[in-house]
Parts: sequence; C-alpha cells; structure tokens
Amino acid sequence: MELIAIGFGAILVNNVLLSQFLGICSFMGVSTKKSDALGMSFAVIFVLMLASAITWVLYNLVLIPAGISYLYLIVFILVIATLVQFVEMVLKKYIQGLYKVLGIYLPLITTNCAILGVATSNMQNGYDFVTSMVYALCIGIGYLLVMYLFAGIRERLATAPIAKPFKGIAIALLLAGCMAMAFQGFAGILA
Amino acid sequence: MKKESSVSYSAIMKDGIIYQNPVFVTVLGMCPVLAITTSVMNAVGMSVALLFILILTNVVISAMRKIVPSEIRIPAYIIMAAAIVSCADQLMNAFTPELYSMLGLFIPLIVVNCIILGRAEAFANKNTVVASFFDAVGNAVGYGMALLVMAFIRELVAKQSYTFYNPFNSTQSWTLNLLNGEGFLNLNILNIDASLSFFATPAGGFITLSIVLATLAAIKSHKASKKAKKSALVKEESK
Amino acid sequence: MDPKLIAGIVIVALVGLFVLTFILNKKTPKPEGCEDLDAKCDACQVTTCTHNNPNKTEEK
Repeated sequence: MELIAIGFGAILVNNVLLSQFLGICSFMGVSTKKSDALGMSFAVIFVLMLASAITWVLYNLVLIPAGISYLYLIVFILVIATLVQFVEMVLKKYIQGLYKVLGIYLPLITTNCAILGVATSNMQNGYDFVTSMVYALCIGIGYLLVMYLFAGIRERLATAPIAKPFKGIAIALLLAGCMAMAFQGFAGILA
Repeated sequence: MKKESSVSYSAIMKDGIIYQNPVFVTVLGMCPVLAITTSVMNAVGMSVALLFILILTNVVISAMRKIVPSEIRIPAYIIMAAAIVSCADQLMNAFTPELYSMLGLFIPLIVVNCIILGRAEAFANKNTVVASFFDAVGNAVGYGMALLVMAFIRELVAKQSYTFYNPFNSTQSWTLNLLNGEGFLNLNILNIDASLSFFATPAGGFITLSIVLATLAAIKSHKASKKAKKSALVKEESK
Repeated sequence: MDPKLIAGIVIVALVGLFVLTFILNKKTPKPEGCEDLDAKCDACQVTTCTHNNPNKTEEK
C-alpha cells in the first residue's frame, strides 16, 4: 500500500533530520539531554499534525479554487505562527500540566524548518488529506527517533575525552554524520 | 546595547563576514549549509538569493522601525519577511527554473532561516537604514563564503569536477574537470578516478561541516595560544 | 468572486488573527510554578521567544 511506503519512508529512508536536513537548528540545540529531546519531539509532532491539517485545508479548499495558490508561503507561515501562539495560550490557560512539560519548546517551533518544510512538501507532492496526515505523523516519529538516539549518545559524549578542536558542535555533527550513514542503509528496504 | 551610527560601515561588514560569521561562529541557519552544498553552483545561487532577501528585509525593517509598535514587532517582521521571500520565490521559479528545482524547498525555507529574524531583531530595529544595509551585506557575504567553502570541498571530493551553468538559460553549462573526464576545461592532472561520492550524500555533509568547524577551532586556539605566549614573553621582558 | 479580492480577504484575516493571538498570548500570564522556566531559545538564537524574563531581554 502506498500509504505504508510513504509513512515508512518518512520515518527511516527520508528521515527529516538526517536525510532532508530540516530542523537542524533544534537538532543541535535541544539534544543535549534525553528529556529535552523527548519534550521537543512531542511538541513538534503535535504542532506538525495540526499545522499539516490546517494548511492542507486552506491550500486545497481556499487557495486553489480561488486561483491564488502563489500565496501559499505567506498563508502557511501565518498559519504556523498563529497556531503556535494559539496552542501556547490554550496550554497556559487550560492544561497547565502539559504547559510545564512542553511549553518551553513551543517558541522554537515557529522557526523550525521542519514544520514549514513538511507543509510545503505536502503541497508540492500533491498528497490528499489522509496521506498528508500520515506523512506528517511519520515525519514526527522519525524526528522523535533520531532526536532521542542522538540525545542518548550526546549525554555520554559530554563526559568522554574528545580532542579539543572537536569539542562542542563539531563532534555532534560528526556523530550526526555517522547516524546519517546508518540511516542511509535503510534506502533499499522498500524496493 | 546601542550601536552609534558613527561606527564605521566597514567594521559592521567585517563583523558579519569574519567575527560573527553566521555559520562558523554563531552557527545559525544550518539547514541549507548541509543540504545545498553538494555543488558550487547551488551554493552560489542560494547565497545570491539570501543576499537580496536579507538586504531587503533589513532595509525595510530598519525603515519602519519607528512606525511599528514594539509589542507586535515580531509578527510584523515575520509578515514582512514572508512577503519578501514569497516574491523572491516566484521570481526564481520564473527566471531561473533549473536552479529553483535544485534548491527545492530551501528557498521558501529562507523565511524561517534564523539569520533573517535574528539580524532584524538584533540590528535592523535599532540602527539606521544604511547601517542595516551594510550589516545585511556583511552577513550574507559571510554566509555565502561559508556555503562556498563547504560546496568547494564537497563537489571536489565527490565529483572531481565543478559544473556551472547559466542560471537564466540552463542549456549553457561548463564543466571544469580536474582529475579525469571530458568537459569545458580538462586539467586532467592525474588520470585516475579518485572520487568519493560519499561526500555528496547527507552523511558526507555532516562530516564535512564537522571537519571544517574543527579545523577553524584548531586554528583559533593555535592563534590564541601563540598570542598568550607572546604576551607572557613581553611581561617577562618588562620585569 | 475576483481572485484578488479573495486574496486580500484571506491575507488580512490571517494577519489579523496572528496579531490577535500574539497579543492575547503575551497577555496570558504563565501558570504558577512556571515563571522560572527558561525556553531553550539560546541554541537557535530564536528571537520570537515569549518566555524570556524581562530582565534577560533588556540585557541584550
């Protein structure tokens, strides 16, 4: 089934962080602790699914019929920014427990390439509603998987003896390169 | 931190290019650095696009800094950046279709590139239009240089040749071959195939950037230790 | 309807909605026990943070 292929591909083969290079800033910045990585990933999954749904609806039911599909970028970014503000507000007022856990990651999501990237991919690939929701969910799962693994290793790296020039970002990038190599091996799975 | 407008423009530009280089020092906007740098042509295209967009956003935001109320300045910046990038996106799609399809998602993603909003918030809304212009040029040139270094290395090692094409008319292309092959200019220094196409893959991108950053860190610490030794010597002599 | 008119309405509506939610969000106070939470904005140098303590933002 094509849905399974798209979904599976989004998690492993075309992984959002290691293959499509979306969301790298947060990848490097928020992955020093496993708890941070988990929190960020759940926030990303949540916003990603909502944003994909709303942008799909707006693009296919408003922009295309009206013939103004060239405005997609402005509409998408406004939707994502509004969504993040709205979610933060709702969490602050009604679901404080969740706000304590996820709230600190929400501001990072407005400028996260992954959300806008997935919305634009859905548009460019012409997915229908169910496919784009499945794609978005699987992109989020791929993000969670890689972030958690990365954070786990980085926690160990923090106390390991590393050559001085590589300390900090450089060793993290090298690590990401090794993980990317590993994930490249998944490329033939669905052939 | 108020920047007086009497600070020289060349100092502002140097800041953007060297001391606060967006990629190598402040590590901002990394997504295109890893994805676009598989070929020098793409890197150049991306840098030029970013140059124009950054100049426009900095100048517009600086010109409107006194009009926009401070509470809603962040939404205002996002909206202005989105409008400008949208125009650039459509223009590139129309006039440089081959380059646009190679750069793919990353032109629309310039909107959320940390550099645009970062420079707007840190510089453009506190300084004059001319100063913001130079800041934009400095940062974009710095970013472009970083992209070029990465692409230079990656394309050299992965394909042993550089391919350029006229962005407005992609049928005109020139290939500069270094080790073996046919093209516009064949240096053919050695007739071997030593390409490591690994460097064109995503993993290669991560590893190249890691090595470049480590090299720069090593150079910086070497220079710093030499300076420290020199000043220690001077202190010894003056005793 | 004229596409340009629809475009205008859509954009104005979205911009208005964004500004509205932004201002409302800023006015909503954080729940108790949360005032000290620091958003992880330094890594990406995200400037759209609404979590920064007032003291910290003035420092820049």
